[in-house]
Amino acid sequence: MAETDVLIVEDEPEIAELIAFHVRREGFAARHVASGRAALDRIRDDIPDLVILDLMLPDLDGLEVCRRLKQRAETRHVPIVMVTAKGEESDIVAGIELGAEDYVTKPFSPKVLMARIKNVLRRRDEPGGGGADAEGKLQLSGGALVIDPARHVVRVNGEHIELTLTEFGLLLFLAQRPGFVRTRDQIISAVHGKSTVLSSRTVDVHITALRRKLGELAGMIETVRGVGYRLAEHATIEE
Amino acid sequence: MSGLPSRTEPWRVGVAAAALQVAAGAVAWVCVAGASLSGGRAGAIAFAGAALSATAILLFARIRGRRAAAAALLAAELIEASVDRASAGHGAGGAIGRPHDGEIDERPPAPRIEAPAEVAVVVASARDAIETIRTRLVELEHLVREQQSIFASMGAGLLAIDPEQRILSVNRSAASMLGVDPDRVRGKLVQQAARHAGLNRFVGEASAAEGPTDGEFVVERSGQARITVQAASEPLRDAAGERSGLLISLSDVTQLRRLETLRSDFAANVSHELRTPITNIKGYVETMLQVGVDDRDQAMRFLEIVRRNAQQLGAIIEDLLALARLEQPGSREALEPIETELRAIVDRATEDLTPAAQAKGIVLRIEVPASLRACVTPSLVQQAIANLVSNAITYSPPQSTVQIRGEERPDGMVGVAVVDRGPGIAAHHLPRIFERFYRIDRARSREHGGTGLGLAIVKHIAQVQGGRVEVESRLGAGSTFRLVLPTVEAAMAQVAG
Repeated sequence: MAETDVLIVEDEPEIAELIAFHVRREGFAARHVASGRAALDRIRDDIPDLVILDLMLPDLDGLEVCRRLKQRAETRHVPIVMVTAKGEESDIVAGIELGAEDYVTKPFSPKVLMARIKNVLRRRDEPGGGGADAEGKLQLSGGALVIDPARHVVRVNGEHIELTLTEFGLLLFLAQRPGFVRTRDQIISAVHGKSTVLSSRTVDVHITALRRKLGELAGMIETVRGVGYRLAEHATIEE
Repeated sequence: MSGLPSRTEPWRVGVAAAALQVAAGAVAWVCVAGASLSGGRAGAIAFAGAALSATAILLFARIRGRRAAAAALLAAELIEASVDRASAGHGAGGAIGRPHDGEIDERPPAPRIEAPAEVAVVVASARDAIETIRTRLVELEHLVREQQSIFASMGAGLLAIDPEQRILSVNRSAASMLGVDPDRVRGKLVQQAARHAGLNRFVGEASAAEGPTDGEFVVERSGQARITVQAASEPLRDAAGERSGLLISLSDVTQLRRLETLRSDFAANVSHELRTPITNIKGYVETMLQVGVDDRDQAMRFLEIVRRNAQQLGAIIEDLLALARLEQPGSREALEPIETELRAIVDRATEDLTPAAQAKGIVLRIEVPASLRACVTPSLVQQAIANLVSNAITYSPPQSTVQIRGEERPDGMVGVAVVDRGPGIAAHHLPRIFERFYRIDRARSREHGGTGLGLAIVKHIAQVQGGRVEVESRLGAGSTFRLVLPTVEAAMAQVAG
């Protein structure tokens, strides 16, 4: 397989250099452009394996770049990790809903950024996503959490737990992409119709109930303040 | 005309009606007494006439609530006239209407009948009642006038509409916000009188709502600046508790919203400007901790980036603090302007910059006549001039000249012009270069360690000194920044003005 090709879209040269340094250190190829238009031009010629996208760009803003990449069939599959400012949760939510895979906030730790990038690349390489086994069962946290969509059964450390339809739909949705944040709106549209009508507020209530039932695995459902929820891949989270 | 809407004061109609009912009662009373006493038909007719007209006025008052007080006064006078006649035992016609002075009653007086003592008591008590009503009504009229003038002149805009959304009344302030003539729109539908989509939507929503509502919309007025209006509505109810329309208060929040936007833009800019150096410092230090410093060249390069970003962070914080101090109203009082030689300020401002100029082979040519004096705070003006000269050095080509020229201005002020031979500034940037964090070329600014605040500080200093800053520039022809400052005479004139 060819070298993984990462495109860095960042207008601050020293930050771009910092990211490129770490990307190369992981054995990936790093290319850099300093504006949104340059990013679209570059991607048209040569589709990268992943885009690290600063949202605050001088000409075309990062969200617009994200929207255009996710609209085009040729680039829709390219994962995007956004680099954004803390306190701009609305941008993060917008980006995730446009289809961006993940994000870090400035000032970010290069280590965390690389962990996110590797996670996104790994997910991309997994067919069907979510780590489902041959029977379609999802196993998380080393098998501590098992979700069997066909039988509508959830086991925590081997013990069967009773979930409502909504709770089950919610857990399954988060479990299909562990480690990725889902916005409340995404959760609402994914779970909607299966059992009940959800609002932003009721999502929070169902999450609380679900956490209680998960017992010692409750911490796997992480609240991403201002953005939404994420199911951790492991019961203990490293960052 | 502006006035209280008739349906807004159910209490007024109520009071007027009650007063008139009392009055009508008194009339009926006196009427009976008078008729029986005088025994004359003429007297009875006169009293009945008075009672009728009081009733008619009462009805009129019910319909036209806002004239109730005036009508009631008239009624009271009518009744009083009748009582006068009754007590005088003079019951002929002509009781309707106020008796005018000098009017000669040509009819022969009715035969006088001596009234018993009880009648005198009745008449006296009726008189008292009438007097009380009259006093109350006069008070009422005052109150109404007072409220009308408050309504008309208050700063908040008020708009009252009926259930069909016709304008009952609009005060000056609301009329000006909506760009309508208050005298012309009464009785018209809101949608016709003021074609503002936002207002119409608000009125629609407020009419449909049971209780109070609020909202905000933009009003576009022909030939005038668009404004942002905050609106609140309160349902109007008549005496019977029936919905009789809406009272809408309007306030112009354009300035407030603009300041809020400026403020949040500034906060967003500050956080972005601070976040970039912090990300670099944090990121490179963490990287070195992670990979070690065995690669010496790489470590030195990373350390240099950290040093540069730390310096940048420091510079931004210094400049932000300088701006904050300039903006603090309290600190301005501490700025004691004194008459100072401009030349001395310029010399001090350029002193520290000479090495930077020399390093680029740039000559600082100072041409400030010793006679020029300004009434300023020397330390601030020194900082402003230093910022301008520093920019000039940064953007001038090597081996060129930066001229610092003192000037007498035609308006009695003095100026310091800083003239460079740099690349010049494109016209479309000129209106914005004094804004905080506005940069013509981000990369270039960063290269020179610019904070994006230097010119904003110059502008602020010029303002607190009672002066201004001007710029002339053309691409390829260099730039001239001019700080214009008051002389003692100009400062005195400013104080006096």
